[in-house]
Amino acid sequence: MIKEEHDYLTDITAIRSMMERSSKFLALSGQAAVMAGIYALAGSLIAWKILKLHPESMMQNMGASASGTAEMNGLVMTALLMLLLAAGTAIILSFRNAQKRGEKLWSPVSRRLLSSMALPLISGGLLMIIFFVNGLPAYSFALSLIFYGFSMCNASRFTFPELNLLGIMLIALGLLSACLLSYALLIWALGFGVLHIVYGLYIHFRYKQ
Amino acid sequence: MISIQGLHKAFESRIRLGIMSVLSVNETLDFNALKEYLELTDGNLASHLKGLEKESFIAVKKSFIERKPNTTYHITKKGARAFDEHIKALELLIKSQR
Repeated sequence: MIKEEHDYLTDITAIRSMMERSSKFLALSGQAAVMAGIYALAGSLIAWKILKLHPESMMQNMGASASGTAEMNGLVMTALLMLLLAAGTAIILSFRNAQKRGEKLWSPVSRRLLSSMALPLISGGLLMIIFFVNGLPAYSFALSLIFYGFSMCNASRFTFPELNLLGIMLIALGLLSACLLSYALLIWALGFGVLHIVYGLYIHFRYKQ
Repeated sequence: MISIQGLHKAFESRIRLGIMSVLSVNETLDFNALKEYLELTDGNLASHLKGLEKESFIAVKKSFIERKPNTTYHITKKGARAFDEHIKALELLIKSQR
């Protein structure tokens, strides 16, 4: 006996949505990316205006341990605060998104997404600490862009595929900032700030979150 | 009774179709993950998994994680081929009926 056409159609739709739901975490919030971009811009502004950070001057006392100076402490504190705010916002807004979609935040896909990001983020973070301790803090901008970019490329397999291009652009900006150290802060703000905002808006509207 | 090439009897149930869809895009999944995705009771899911296992469309791997038994499921080559044919047949049917 042949089933109705309608049945076949719903079969196919059910298959496609199951495949997608079980392999991609689409509750990742675009709004959170916009917020992360705003935090990054604010942080860059603080580093530039209040801490009077000029990556070029960071290179002048190269070799000497960079940690300990008030300027460096302020920079580290600002960076950590931005990281915490951005991660917290991402978790809260993605949780709300997941609830709206009837999904769980802590699911096999979201776990895979996180573990795909973990390796580049942890190794990059460690390398940044090593560079910092060895008196090369100016490269923190490049390293954070490059390794975060890697984590986005990896993550794109388990969420919106567009993140791959974001990752590539971040890596390119990272390499550029390593060449143009005096513009490193500006390039960093462009990558973490502007790109995050553009991508967040794109995801938000493209996927009607 | 008209048999349509490519359509498999084993996939007539929506639940089995769901299991195959999920396993076709995930290398392996454990019982709880499948339960979470398909929103089924233990007994219901287990019986459908048994059915697919009997057809050798999926295979089971039993192991221990920190001394707790852990059962994971993965799609077999035969299962992947059958599922692929099934989807193609469905798509053809939909097209031909338009």
